[in-house]
Amino acid sequence: MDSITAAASVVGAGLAVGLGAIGPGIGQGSAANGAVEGIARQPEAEGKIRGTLILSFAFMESLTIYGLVVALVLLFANPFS
Amino acid sequence: MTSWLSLAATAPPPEGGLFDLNATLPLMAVQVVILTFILNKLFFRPIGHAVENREGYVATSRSQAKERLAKVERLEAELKARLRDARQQAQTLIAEAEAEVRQLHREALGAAMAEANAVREAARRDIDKERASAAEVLEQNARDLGDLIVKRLLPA
Amino acid sequence: MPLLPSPLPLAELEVGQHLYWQIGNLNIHGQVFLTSWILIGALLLFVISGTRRIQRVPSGPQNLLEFFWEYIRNLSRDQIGEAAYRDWMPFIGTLFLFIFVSNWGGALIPWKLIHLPSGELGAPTGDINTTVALALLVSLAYFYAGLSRKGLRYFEYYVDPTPIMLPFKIAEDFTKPLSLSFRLFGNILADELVVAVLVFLVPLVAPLPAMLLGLFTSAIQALIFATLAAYYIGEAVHEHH
Repeated sequence: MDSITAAASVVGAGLAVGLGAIGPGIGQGSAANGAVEGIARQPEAEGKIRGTLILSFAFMESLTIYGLVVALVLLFANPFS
Repeated sequence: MTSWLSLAATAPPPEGGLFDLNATLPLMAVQVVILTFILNKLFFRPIGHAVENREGYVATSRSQAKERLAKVERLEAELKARLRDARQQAQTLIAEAEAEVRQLHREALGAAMAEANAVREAARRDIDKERASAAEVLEQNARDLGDLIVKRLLPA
Repeated sequence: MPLLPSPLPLAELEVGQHLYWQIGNLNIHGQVFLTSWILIGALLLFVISGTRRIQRVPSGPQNLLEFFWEYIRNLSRDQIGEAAYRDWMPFIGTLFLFIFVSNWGGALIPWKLIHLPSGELGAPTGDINTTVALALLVSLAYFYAGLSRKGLRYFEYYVDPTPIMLPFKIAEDFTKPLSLSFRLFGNILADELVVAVLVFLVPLVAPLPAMLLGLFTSAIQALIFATLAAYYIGEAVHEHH
């Protein structure tokens, strides 16, 4: 692997995770916002809201994980090396 | 280049890599399918039977208990009604008996009074008769005495 | 390719190293099968111990098994619907239990103490082959569910609101297994890597929160995989009016 490809891969890996974390971060924030409002309005529905919240968190989390997979590809299974 | 999607790796010691797809994939799939059947036989079928049997048992027990409760309530109501009837009957019996007793008392009183009246009447009649006869005797005696007096005075 | 070599034997970080077994001219990843056999064996032992004497009033392992059973039943009934969930419950339940046991077994059992000539033992779901196999099984399952329940009417689903949806629905058939497999693979691999990097940096105590978080996300990933599989099957058997 020449040094330019290696450097570009490492930078790309960092960007893949870093940029990929922005969207889910915002999404999780607004989801938590909605959940807290829902619990404040209806405290008896807390269990149901928490279950749905965690499930949707995991879905958003998986978007970051896709970025992480791309980063891992660049670091450990680089197709251009 | 590392083996991207190297489904048929030829070199005896393959290079490996993160995304090394090979015969592990179908074997794992077969293994999971077999595991599905084994778990279905060992786990899902028997536990499902147990849980559903228990749910059925609980449901029938509940309905039986409800039925029994309803029966008990019905019996209780019936017995209460019977008790009320019996009490009412007793009340009417007592009332009847009292009325009868009063009636009898009145009748007996009337009879006794009538008898007393009759006895008094008879006694009065006797007294009258006695008096009459006594008066007659007295009159007779008086007449006899008068006659005697007349005879004594008038022999001459 | 070994990365971050270290003097401590516990903290060696390897990615993409496998223990190769050869059957004929096929290569398979031995470490995946070793761990999966151990974990499946433990699962089966537990199941057998819980179902050997089934009592009306459950106790011990039977209690836990019944809890799992009811959890899986509620999950598949909610997603698939009252009509068809009984046929698919064993499949959904096996996916859930296998993934759950794999994830937790990979995180909780100190596999690193067993040395292999090449590669290292870990969660079977941390290998792309396992997750792709599971995801393809889900694809086959929902195709089979739709075709066996509705026959060729199943393909009405592809043009359901409008025929414009056709390319998107076809693309979905490819993205579904792709996202299923990569979500699981990425999560498990990321957990393992995070823990390995933390162990490499600070060998004691510090990795514990990350490991606990890893256990939590592992369980959630098993739940998500099973929920999505059930949802896809439910979508396939759902009757449109």
